[in-house]
Amino acid sequence: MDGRVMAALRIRARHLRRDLDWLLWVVGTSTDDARSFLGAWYLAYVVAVGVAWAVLSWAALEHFAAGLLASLPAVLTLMPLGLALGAWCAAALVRALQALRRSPFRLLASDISWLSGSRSALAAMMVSDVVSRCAGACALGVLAGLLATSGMVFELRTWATALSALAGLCTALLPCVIAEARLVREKADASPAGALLLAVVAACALAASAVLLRVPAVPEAVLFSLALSLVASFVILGRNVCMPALACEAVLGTEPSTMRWLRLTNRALHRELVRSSRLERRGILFKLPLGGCGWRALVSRAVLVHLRRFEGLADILLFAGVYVPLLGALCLGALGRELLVPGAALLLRNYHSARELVRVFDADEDNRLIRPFLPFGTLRLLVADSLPALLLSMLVSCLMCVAVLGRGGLAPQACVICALIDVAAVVCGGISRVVLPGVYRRMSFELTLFAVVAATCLVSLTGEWLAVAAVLAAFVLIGGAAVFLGHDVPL
Amino acid sequence: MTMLLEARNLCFSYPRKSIWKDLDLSLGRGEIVFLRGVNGSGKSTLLRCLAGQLRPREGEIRFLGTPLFSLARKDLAGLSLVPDVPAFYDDLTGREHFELVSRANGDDEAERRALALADAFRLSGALDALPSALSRGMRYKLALSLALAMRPQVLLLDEPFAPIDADAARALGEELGKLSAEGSAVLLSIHGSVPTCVPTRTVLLGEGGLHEEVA
Repeated sequence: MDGRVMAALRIRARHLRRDLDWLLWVVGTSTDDARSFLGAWYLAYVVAVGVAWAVLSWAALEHFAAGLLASLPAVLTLMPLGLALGAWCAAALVRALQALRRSPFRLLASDISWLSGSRSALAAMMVSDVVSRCAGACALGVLAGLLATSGMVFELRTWATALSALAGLCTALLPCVIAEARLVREKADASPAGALLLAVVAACALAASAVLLRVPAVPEAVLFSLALSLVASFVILGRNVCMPALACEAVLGTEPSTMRWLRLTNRALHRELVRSSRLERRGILFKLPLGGCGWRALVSRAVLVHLRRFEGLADILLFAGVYVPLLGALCLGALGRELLVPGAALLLRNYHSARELVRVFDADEDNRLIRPFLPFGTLRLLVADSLPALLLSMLVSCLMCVAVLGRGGLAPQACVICALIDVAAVVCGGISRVVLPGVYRRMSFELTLFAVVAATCLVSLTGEWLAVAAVLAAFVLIGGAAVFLGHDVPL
Repeated sequence: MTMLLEARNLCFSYPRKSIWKDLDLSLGRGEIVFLRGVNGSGKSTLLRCLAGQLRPREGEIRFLGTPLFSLARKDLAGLSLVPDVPAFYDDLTGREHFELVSRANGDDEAERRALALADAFRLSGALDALPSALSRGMRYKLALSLALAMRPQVLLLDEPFAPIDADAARALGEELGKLSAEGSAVLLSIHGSVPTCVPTRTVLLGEGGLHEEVA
């Protein structure tokens, strides 16, 4: 075998080991620990506990599913299997559409720099990637098939498992074949159309297997033929695929290994880095003129930033549409006082959603080059930068309050409290960037938000919604004054 | 000579490492001062202290006669530092940076000047890209265009000639000359010599503090 191919396989093995280490990190060990006696024992213990946990959890899940399936009428016996195949079909369609735009292969930049000289090595790397992905999909298919036929006869379970595994195999192979068809050399014009046709045909075949489940021999014949044709297409197209193009596509969007570790150690930073890399990849989405002068330019720019970083809008909607109305309803006693602490904890646990309201302000305060050129005090900057997000969150909060609490007649009070909580979250963002008069250090956003939520919850125990509103309004006024008087300092 | 920026008895240290102490420096109107020193001597740290981004352990810095650390950041528009790795908004293009800053200040001339500077630095073709798509040199040119367009009274530049090409260095030299003629003071850290930019004086940052370098 070519030395480069061996190197590619060794690199693949190292990737697998790194993936395993990533999982083991959670329990404080790694494959490197196996070199020492105690480390090896601890690793064996962790693996044994993990296996036992998986087996017992599976048994419990199967028992639960068997009970559920036993209660179904006989006509609907195959419905769970049909749903599983339908889910595979949907997944295949989504992955196929993604593959029309971006390669599903995963190669790291370092892999490509090591292997770029050898077509056979890159092919080996690609094949090993596809094989591992197919194996994973088949395993998942087996589990889905077993779960969908829990408590049924052995023959039926074997048949269902084989069907589901074949569907999983097709789902894993389809995007790879589509990417290959798109990247075939010297047929650039015809390839995208062929890839699209293939996606449609394969999705139809998968859907047909789910629909015709009761017709004897048809589903297995359809899935087997599809899997066979996909394997054959993968092999044939693989010989003609343009490797440099495939490598370039494969390396795009592959998160660096350091970022992957960050997901475990610092989720907020990891999310921010992932969003920034997505922003870089998709380029400039909207072109809006920065209308007006002075603070109006800042407002236009804030709108532009939220549109371009639309992932942040989901956080704002979650905060304003779920957490804030929940806290508002709890403060009004609409959901029972015993849920007050869990509700407040939920909001505080997801403080990063609230922080999205002041994203633009934070970016301004962090920018050492441009901040001095913005001729606004901290309070005016906070208001201008946060205005679009704040208006959106207040609107969403009020709509949610009306929708949920409208019948109980508590909607107006809830709207006032929720709007004040939204404004208070923005004020927390302002306080976190200034040193208050007579205070040595800045107060963090999380701590300030905690103080506001805790005070709101405590006052709500009096049962007076006006007292809650007054506390929030007082915080907004005093906090605003503090932001105005405080000294903004660079990080 | 009217002093725009004055530093007296500055001391700065990182934990367990003293960088420099008892350092005096003043920048008068129209001066272009070169700051030299070996790597690690604390040139960038000094520039960041003078820009109000780091607080010295001891000593005082005055900007236009007012203690620097009593000023709010909005009052520091006349004091600009272009660091060696400038940061931008990663969701705005270069052109939108110019637009934002000039519109926020209600000064359309600033945008026109920034575009002209970008043209002089041969950056015009890259103004519609996000900063993340620019090379280090291009990012530095973008920062220079922005800072020079705002016509600060004191401009601090951290190794400005290192990342940019020869044509841009020539254009920068000319721009610094114009800025100085308008009465602004420029302090820039530098290693080699720059034929396109003649300093009023050169100071050397070394073990014993800051010394005037005799030509």
